[in-house]
Amino acid sequence: MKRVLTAVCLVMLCWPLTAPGADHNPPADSVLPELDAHDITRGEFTQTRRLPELSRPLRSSGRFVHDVDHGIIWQVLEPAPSTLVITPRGLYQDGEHHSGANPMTTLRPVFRALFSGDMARLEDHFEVTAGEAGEGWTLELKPRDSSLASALQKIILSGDDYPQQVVIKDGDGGRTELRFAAIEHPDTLDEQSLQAFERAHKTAP
Amino acid sequence: MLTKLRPSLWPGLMALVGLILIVQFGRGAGLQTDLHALLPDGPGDPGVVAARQQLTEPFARTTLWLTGADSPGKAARAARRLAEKLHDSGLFNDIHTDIDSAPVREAWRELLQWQRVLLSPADHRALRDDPERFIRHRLAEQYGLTGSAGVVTLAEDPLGLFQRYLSPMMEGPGAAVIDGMMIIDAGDRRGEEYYFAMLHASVADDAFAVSTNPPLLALWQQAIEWAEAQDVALHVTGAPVFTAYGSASASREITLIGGISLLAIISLLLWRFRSPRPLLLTLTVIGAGLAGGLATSLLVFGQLHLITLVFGATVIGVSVDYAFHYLCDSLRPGWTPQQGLHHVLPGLRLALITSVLAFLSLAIAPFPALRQVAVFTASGLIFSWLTVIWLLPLLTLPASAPAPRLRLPVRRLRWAWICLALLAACLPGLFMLEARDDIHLLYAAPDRLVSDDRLIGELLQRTEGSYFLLVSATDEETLLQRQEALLPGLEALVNEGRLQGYRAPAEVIPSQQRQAENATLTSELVTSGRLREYMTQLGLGETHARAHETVMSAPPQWLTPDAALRHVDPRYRQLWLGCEEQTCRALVTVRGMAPAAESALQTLAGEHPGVQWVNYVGDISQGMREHRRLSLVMLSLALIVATAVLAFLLGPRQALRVISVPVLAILVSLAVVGYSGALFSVFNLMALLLIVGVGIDYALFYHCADREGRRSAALAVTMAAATTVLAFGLLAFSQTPVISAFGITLVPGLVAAWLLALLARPPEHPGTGANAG
Repeated sequence: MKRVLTAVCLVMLCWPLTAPGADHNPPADSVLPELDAHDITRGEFTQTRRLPELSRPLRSSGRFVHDVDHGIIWQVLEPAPSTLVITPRGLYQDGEHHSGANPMTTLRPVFRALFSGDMARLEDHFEVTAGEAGEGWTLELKPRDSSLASALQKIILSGDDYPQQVVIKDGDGGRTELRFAAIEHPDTLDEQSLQAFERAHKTAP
Repeated sequence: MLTKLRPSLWPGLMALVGLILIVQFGRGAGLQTDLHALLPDGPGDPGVVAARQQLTEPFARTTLWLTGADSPGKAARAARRLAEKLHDSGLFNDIHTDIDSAPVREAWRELLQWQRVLLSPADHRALRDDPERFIRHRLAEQYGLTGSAGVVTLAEDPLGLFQRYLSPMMEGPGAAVIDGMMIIDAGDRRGEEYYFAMLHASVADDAFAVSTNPPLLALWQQAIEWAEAQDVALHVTGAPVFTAYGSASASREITLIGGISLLAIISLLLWRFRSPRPLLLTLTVIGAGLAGGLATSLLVFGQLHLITLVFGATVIGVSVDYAFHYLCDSLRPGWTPQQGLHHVLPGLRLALITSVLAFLSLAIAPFPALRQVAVFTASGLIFSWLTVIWLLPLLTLPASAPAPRLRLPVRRLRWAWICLALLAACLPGLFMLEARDDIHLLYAAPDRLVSDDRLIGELLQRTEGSYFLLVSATDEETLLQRQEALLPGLEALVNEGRLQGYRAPAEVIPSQQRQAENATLTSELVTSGRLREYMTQLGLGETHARAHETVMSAPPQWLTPDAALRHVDPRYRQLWLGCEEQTCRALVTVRGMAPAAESALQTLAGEHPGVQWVNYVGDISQGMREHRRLSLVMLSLALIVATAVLAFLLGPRQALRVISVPVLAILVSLAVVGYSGALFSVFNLMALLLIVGVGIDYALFYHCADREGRRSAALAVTMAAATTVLAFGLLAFSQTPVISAFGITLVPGLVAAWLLALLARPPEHPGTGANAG
């Protein structure tokens, strides 16, 4: 009993030191929507990229795959084909590896939250606040990585029962909108995607 | 001359020693503890030495502390608490927890003024070979998921050429800065979400101050316990921690080994002579040896390594041989000092000559510390020997009790049979010897530190500091061109998966020639209209497009290496050694080398002029291998020389008998090492040299004694062997692999030398009986 009391006292003593500080938003759980969790997600997307220097937006479409362990395959089909693979080890643009800090790597926890229901993890990487939305929900994510500040201003997620849209606001005024459609959740990864992840993994340092 | 009793000789000698020590310590001579001083003199190439120094120096004072947890916030909080602890310890003068990327980005932005001539090596190739295709890819990328890295805008760099030129400088572990802490995502290595927060802490003074004052180790231990209590992982590395650990364990060992050895000697003497006088005399002999060895070494080298003292402690074991030989002789009935000296001098003289020769042969090793050991022990022995000759006869009193008999049950065996039986028993062991020539065996590092270091190296994608390509040329331009010629070969190795990466200054500092080619390529983009077409397709505004065309076709400004070095990432700056005496040098480092890659890199270096592949650790290991072989030859040579000397003095039959003692003792040592699978390297051979010296001592003392003196000689040999085995036996428990191997090799050899010395007695004359053995 004495030992238990001592332990309790020790925990109490340590509490203020180990408890989450101001860097966590305690009520965040309440603003996070409850979404279905899936290990694998496939779908189509349309992407609109607007930059202040460009007279018209860059519109493209294609399909994507999200795997909770491997990462994201972002395959543009129109108007010009290209493939970006985002894995825990970095970015692979058409087979070329780019390591180091890059704003796009933060899309991995975002996709995990949206498609695998891992909402709590978002807070490891972003300050999450609930935005205004007529129907459904909106979340504003501000990156906690201050080294990204000049490159990535914020990410805005919105949806209803399903995630619908991701808006990425660059540091220099660029804005990329991703809209999802035809989302499905296969049980296993198709051969082509698996190979794409494996190739990316092999190129990794 | 030596045998005359002159009271003034010894005090005079020791006064000289004292004077040398006072002068040396007065001018600041000291003990060296840095284990790096144990490395051989190196390949001798000034370029290699400078390169190695440039690669390792920035890390000599830095320690890295990583706290790991399943969320970045938890890892960062732990790191912040740890930073406070490190700060409170007062050991560090600089602790930083984040990277301020703003100045780095600013420096990169300034390079933009040269953008027309700066292309990444890959883009240079692509634009030269197929510009259409290159532009198509860049356009496709703009339609994909791509963000700016925040250094330049799309209007400044529409094709992303400058961004792609910068990208090798941005390569890295991708550390985020969360809550003011550097955070590394290690999830992919663990198969689950995992993050490390990282602290850099530089020790306040050089490694020497930290290691002689070991609170760093205590702090490390405390931090480990603290991290366990907090349920966070902790990984630490850095040269100061390794040095502190190595020095602390060496200091502990010398205290223990020296202390217990002394205790053993003291107990033996008190037990045998039942008087404190011989004890004090023996301690004087040891003390004179240590002081004389120290003075001579300081005179020769200016400073002494701690390891020298650890091995030098063995002098204690050997120098008592002389004292015991003289003191045991005093147990003979009717003994007088002058007569005693006359009895033991022939044996002592031969023993000193052979031992000093054996110890001095250590000096052929390319390891500075071993040279110090050679000089320290050889000179120490001479001083001890002189003390026995000059001082002991003046102070030794005749004993009251006779020397006891030693009975050996095997004494009637024929010598030849013993030799044959031992040979047969040892031979299989010799074939089981497995040599390991690895410099890392010199370091006593706990597994935890070694595995932490490996993990941190992988996380930070650290390039290797001990192997690299050294590129030399007579001027900077040629130096850059030579590196550029290397790059395609290195790229091929990366694509084959034989290398994970490389880093060469020429990646970010193009040669003048390459800059001119780049300028042509970028002008062609403008004149061919390809750039304009791309910018139109992208929808870049007319003002921006025209401005960019102007930039890319303006008369080029050339980027000089000096200007480039001011702007590029420090990881590249570090690889530039600069020019000295008409030789300019730079390094190309590699990372993640597959086993077969080394020969490919060697071949690559061979194909390009001015390029040299350096494997620093490999060279040292190679050196150790060569010296292991050389030492074997030297050992045989020493034995042949000793046999020749002995044959001249004692006759061939007796010489063979005496020399067979150390030879068999060496075989026993090697066989035990072979059977037990203990470490076998050049350092074991150094131990064998010691066995040769001591084995000859034992055999000679016993052999040279007349019939009357054998009893006391046997006692002297036994006592010497007992104390020496105790002293060396403790070396076997050392945590430093080479010192431990030294002990494991010595003990069986010493025991064998002792037994064999007593068995190898010369043929008895009729009537002398077997009472001496």
